[in-house]
Amino acid sequence: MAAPMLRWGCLGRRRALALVDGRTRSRRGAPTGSASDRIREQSSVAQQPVHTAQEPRKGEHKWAAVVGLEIHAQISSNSKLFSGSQVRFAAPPNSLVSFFDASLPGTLPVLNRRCVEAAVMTGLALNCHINKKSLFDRKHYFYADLPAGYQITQQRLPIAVNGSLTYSVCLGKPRNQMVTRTARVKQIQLEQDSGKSLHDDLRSQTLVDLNRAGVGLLEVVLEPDMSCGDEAATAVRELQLILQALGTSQANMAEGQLRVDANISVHHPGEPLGIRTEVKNLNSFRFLAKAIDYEIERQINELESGGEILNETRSFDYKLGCTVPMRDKEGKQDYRFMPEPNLPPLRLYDDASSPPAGTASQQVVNIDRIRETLPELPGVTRERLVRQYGMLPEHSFTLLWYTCCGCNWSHGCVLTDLTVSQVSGALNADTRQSPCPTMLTQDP
Amino acid sequence: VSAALKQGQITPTELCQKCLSLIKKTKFLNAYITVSEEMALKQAEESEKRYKKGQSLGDLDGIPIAVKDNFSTSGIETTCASNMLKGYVPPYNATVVQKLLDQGALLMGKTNLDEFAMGSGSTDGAFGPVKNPWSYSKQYREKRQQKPHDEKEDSNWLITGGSSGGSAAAVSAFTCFVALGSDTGGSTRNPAAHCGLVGLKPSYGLVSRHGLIPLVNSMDVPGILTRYVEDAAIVLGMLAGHDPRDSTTVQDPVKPFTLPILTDVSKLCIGIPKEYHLPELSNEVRALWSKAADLFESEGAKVIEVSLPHTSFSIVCYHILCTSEVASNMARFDGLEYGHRCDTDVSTEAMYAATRREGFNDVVRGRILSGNFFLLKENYENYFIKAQKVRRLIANDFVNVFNSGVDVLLTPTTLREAVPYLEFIKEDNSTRSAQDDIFTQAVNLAGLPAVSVPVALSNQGLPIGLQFIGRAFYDQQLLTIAKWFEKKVQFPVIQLQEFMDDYSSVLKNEKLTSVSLKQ
Repeated sequence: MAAPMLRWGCLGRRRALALVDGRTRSRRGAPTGSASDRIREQSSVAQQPVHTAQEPRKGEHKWAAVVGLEIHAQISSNSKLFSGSQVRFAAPPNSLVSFFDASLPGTLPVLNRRCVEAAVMTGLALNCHINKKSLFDRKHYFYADLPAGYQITQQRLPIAVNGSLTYSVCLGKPRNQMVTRTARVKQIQLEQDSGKSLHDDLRSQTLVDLNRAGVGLLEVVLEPDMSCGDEAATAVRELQLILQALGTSQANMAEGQLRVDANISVHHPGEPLGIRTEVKNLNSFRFLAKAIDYEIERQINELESGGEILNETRSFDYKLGCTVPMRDKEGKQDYRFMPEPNLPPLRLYDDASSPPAGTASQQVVNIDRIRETLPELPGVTRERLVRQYGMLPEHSFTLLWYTCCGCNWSHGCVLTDLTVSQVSGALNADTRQSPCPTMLTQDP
Repeated sequence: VSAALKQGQITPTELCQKCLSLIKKTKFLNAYITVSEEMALKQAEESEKRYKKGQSLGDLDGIPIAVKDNFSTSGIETTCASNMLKGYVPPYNATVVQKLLDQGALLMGKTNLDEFAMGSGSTDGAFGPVKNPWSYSKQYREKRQQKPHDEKEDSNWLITGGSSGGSAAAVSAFTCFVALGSDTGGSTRNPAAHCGLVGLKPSYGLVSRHGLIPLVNSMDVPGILTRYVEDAAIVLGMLAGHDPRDSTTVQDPVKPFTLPILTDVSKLCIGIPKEYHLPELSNEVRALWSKAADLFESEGAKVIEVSLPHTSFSIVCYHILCTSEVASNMARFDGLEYGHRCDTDVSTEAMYAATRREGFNDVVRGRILSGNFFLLKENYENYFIKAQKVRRLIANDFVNVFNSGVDVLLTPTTLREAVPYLEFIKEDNSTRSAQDDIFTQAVNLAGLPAVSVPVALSNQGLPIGLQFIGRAFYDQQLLTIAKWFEKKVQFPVIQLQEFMDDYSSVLKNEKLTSVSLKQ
């Protein structure tokens, strides 16, 4: 593992990006509607005071950054969200496209049960309230990889709301202090993935592959409770571990199964939140933190030199290491949301509520049954490792972090004390001075 | 005719050829966009084999049918009468088409319509307007003192109504026994009334929409056009039922449709909605409506006036919801995956714009623009949401009336009989639709079953129909009452003399034109 990068993160920076006053903010109400279009008016939940390595320069205003995330995870299922075509990575172009995926006129969506179960499992694992009734909507925009001219999503009433994602960051120098943070989960919604378009500038054409069109996605929306790239990346990594433990998504960023959009703004502590920008399609952990920290820095620079921040969408140019405005996302998009008329409300049941008489059993999804089948979550696994094997908490993080997905810690992993500490020791040797793994150089 | 086939009085091939020859003779009606001659003859051959073995598939085996060109038919061009889909050959059959084919029906072809089913005249399609066969009937021409063979007087031909005008004309001119239409605001019932046919709109959720190219997903249903109520019931029985491919079909099992013969109507309660007494209603239709009510009363039924208080809002409500859904449904026509694509290759946006301008007619484009307006964030609450609320009120009006003991409602289907094309086009599509759908579209907002039954000829010798509206999923009861009524009114058969010669001696003592499916 390479040396800890010179990160633009919360720590070791001269500008105090953290909240050094630690005052609790009062919440002014939950944001409503589509996340993309509103200027936030509420403050975030108070964060733990973060250690700053250096005091801010004299006369310099303090800045606080606020980061919210929209994470899209491809659901691990055999077939797509609304059609029977297969879900597979790297298949020949346009070989996994059903009539519905190609938007042939007259075709209708049919909801995939496995995707619903995956959403419920994920919601339960993130402590969400599962809505027993949720609705589907159409989000309209024209793009070559969106055959129907709209995406089916859940804007009005998603399947799960009001949860939390707990993660731990390492603080201090050396970074051996594990501090727990919580990011609120605003909602989880089911939606369709789009196809892929490849721009062939040489021949002035765009090639469209619809294999991915219609694949089920879980969009997990995290409230702006994070304050820098490192926290965001850690939160995403924790979510990734959870999804992998549940089996609801393989969440492999390299294969595009996990994609992150970040909403970033800066403000002076005590003042209202600033205008935020959206940085889209961050597809690796390394660039995720880097892009966020760059954007925070850019906004601060912009504001300090008297400029203003536009409510725009940007992407991260990994070659240049900076965020750039996205050309085709200029101006506000009105997605003309409309209820999806071909899908009745999705109704879920639990032990307390029974479906109408005569309902076929394969039409019934029972939340309590799903709760019973939830596997051990990473947080519990780590606690167990600490408890059972006397492992240091930071080692438990290391162990889980460097383990490939698919290793199920809860079943039959017989580890002797020796083995555990040997393994974690070996891992620690690899992390040089700090027992905490640095997120940014690993790309799981 | 089904019995005739079973008894060998006529073979499927003979029947098929008769109908094909009639199609050729009536080509000027422009009822068909595509005639699937080869396929029909092949199907007839197979049907014949089955009959010879005594293994007919049922009442529809060997029976010529036609399908409106907004139903997906595998291997047969499906255009929706639009330039956008000219040359589009779907790779699958709509569920209702498949069901009919599985019953052994012979597919004569795809019928003409208003482009994408938008219209009430079948005049605004890319393949030209459809002519009402009654324009050439003895009954009409006699009243106008015209000789039946006087082709020169063709400039004043009548519209069929719409948007399933092609299907109506096809059945009315005896080129088939059953035709599928679609009904979103009255598109099956309206042409049925103008062409002297039975036009059935089933309950929403009873029949699968998979494969029906949508206009308004929350209101569309496949419609059935036949000459007799019994035939409509037979076909409905074959089409009704849950389709896993259509999530809006109800999952309750559907019982087969056999219509009991109603003899005693004294237990029935017929409702006459007072808000349907419109000043625009023609005197003749009004008189027939009244006469029909009296008929029920004289036979012992209870006939009462009822109120549907939100009727006057239904046109506007329909307009908003229809255009909004249209704007959404038409978004997929971008020239990329199928259908028309323009020649521009400057950019994707330019390609979309040109493709959609070239592919859609003014009516479609107008509705898309309106719909997108209503769906804009700043308008959504005031228009779309409001309209949905009004829709709920309208639907509740019907529920309240049915809950008060009414079995069916009796209303006119159209304001008047079919008008000449030249008169019809004096107003634009939007105006005409608003006028002509007035009695029919509230039914679609509420998702109820309704049927138009031909009652009598007007002073001009043209058909007038009346509409029965039933409670949701009480389609069988609705049709039972309609059948009783049909028997009482004895609507005359259209007399198309010059084409009739072929038919006059097909069956021993019956003209083919007077037979229903079962016969």
